[in-house]
Amino acid sequence: MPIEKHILNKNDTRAFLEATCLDLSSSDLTINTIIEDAQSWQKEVHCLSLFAAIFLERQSHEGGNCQPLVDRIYGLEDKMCFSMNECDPDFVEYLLRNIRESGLPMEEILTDILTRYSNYDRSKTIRM
Amino acid sequence: MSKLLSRPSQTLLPDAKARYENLGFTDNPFPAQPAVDKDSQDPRINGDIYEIEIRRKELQKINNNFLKVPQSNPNHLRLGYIIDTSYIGRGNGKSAFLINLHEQIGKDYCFDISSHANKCFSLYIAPEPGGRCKTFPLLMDLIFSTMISSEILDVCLATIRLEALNKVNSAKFQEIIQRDDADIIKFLNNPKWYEENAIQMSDIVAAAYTIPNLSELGENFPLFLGKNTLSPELSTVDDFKEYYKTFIKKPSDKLDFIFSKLVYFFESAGFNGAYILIDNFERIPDFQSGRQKKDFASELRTCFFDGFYRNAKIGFYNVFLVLHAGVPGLISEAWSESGLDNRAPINPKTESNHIVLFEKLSKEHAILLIRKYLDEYRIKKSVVNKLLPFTEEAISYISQLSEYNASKILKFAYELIEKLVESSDSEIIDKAFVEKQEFHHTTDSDRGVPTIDEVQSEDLLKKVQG
Repeated sequence: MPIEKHILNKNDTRAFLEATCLDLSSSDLTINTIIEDAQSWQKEVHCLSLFAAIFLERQSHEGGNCQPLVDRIYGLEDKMCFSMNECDPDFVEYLLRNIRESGLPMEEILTDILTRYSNYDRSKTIRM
Repeated sequence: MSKLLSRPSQTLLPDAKARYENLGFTDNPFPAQPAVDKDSQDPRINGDIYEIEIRRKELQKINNNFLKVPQSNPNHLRLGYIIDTSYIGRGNGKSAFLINLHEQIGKDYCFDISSHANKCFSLYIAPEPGGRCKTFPLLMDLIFSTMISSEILDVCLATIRLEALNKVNSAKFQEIIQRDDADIIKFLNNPKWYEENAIQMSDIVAAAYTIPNLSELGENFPLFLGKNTLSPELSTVDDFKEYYKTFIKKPSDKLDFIFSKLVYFFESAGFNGAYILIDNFERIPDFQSGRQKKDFASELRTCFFDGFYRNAKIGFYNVFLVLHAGVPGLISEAWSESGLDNRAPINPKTESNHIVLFEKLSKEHAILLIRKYLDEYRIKKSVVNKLLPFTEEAISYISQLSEYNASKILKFAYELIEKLVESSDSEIIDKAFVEKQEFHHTTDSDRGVPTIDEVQSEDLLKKVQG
């Protein structure tokens, strides 16, 4: 049975990275549950590099040193079931080939596309 | 009292000092606007102040894989790429590197470095911004005009005439070769010299025509101006310009002239190769459509590798394209469609002899860079601490703030020297001093750059679909 996936939106990304990389405890119970599930490999957490970049930029403006933070974010993959989506060519192709709901903000469109993309089952794809 | 004898009551300071004298410099050692301008007289921006150690590895690679390889080797590399690996923007020192490479080649025409195997000249080409050079024939115009301004045609004309003179009048030949090269070029390209020395121009032109390769050029070639008349004239570089402007109209004629006729001409003058260094290459494909990019790459392949031109057969011209980090992605499709990718692949991820990667500077490089500039403007060269007034820690901090970009480091150092001159409470530039000045260092928010979050997004697919 495939592992359940959770896609972080912009606000969730911030709370998730604050809790996992800055060791700031979160009052958001949902985030805490997601982190626990990811740590016990019961849930696969997906994050868009765009939202991680927004988080990093905010830290930088607040005077934080981003270099160790980048290392910690990319080190999460070794500690929990976490995956960073870099908006690579495959993702962009998927984005262009799939119908998007118009009128939504970009953040919601991307989260929606990433949800479908990460749940996309390639095992029965016919390659041309 | 006569006003001739009147004197002001205030006298000027007898021991007045220059602005940077207290720091031990004749001027601010760093450029205010660090952008390379080859034709400037200011050594801070024309590439004269150059620390070779910073790019020793890159230069070594070019020397070993290009300059030292005999041109007679049919497999010698003809197309090389100098690719910036960092996306931090301009100012990584590529232009300064290229100008110094150009000067290194020009100094003794590669003679020493290749152990006398090669005699090559070099042309430094910088396409103008604005797309004036977006087709291959337009690039040829730029290459030809650079040949004119670099005076390589004068050198070749004088060399050919010197050889002809040896056949016509060996006594005069022995006399003139005692002079230095600049004099020889000046005399042999001046009709008056022939008059004064009672040498018939017709004899020189006829003797030149017998030099191997030159007869291949045909009698219309500007070198043989008036060959079959009673009084042939001494052709000059202006005649070459006129010939190019008047007789070469079609793009195919242009390519034949540059890649066949001129190659024979240069060979007759003793050269067996040339390096064409194209800086800021992105100024060409930036303005090209997909089809134009492919045409450009196809012509590059025909003229340098597979065509019927003399150059394609022997690989006379070797080209270096200087590319910013994103440019390989911009042209890779055209390169692969035209087949040029098979000849000189452009993928920077693959380690190849013809690709020279230009890495970001390190802290050690930044120290060398700052020290080089300080040395050039120091009044007393015997200072023990060559970094003064900077501390090593300060340079490390400046480099970090400047994202290890050479141009930003130099600009920052310029501003810090200005601050230090005006400062009364500090004599050195240490980390604390830099931190105090840091608010002057522009950040994205100072420049009003919106954050990623604030940037307005646009649905391009929707826009295309209308």
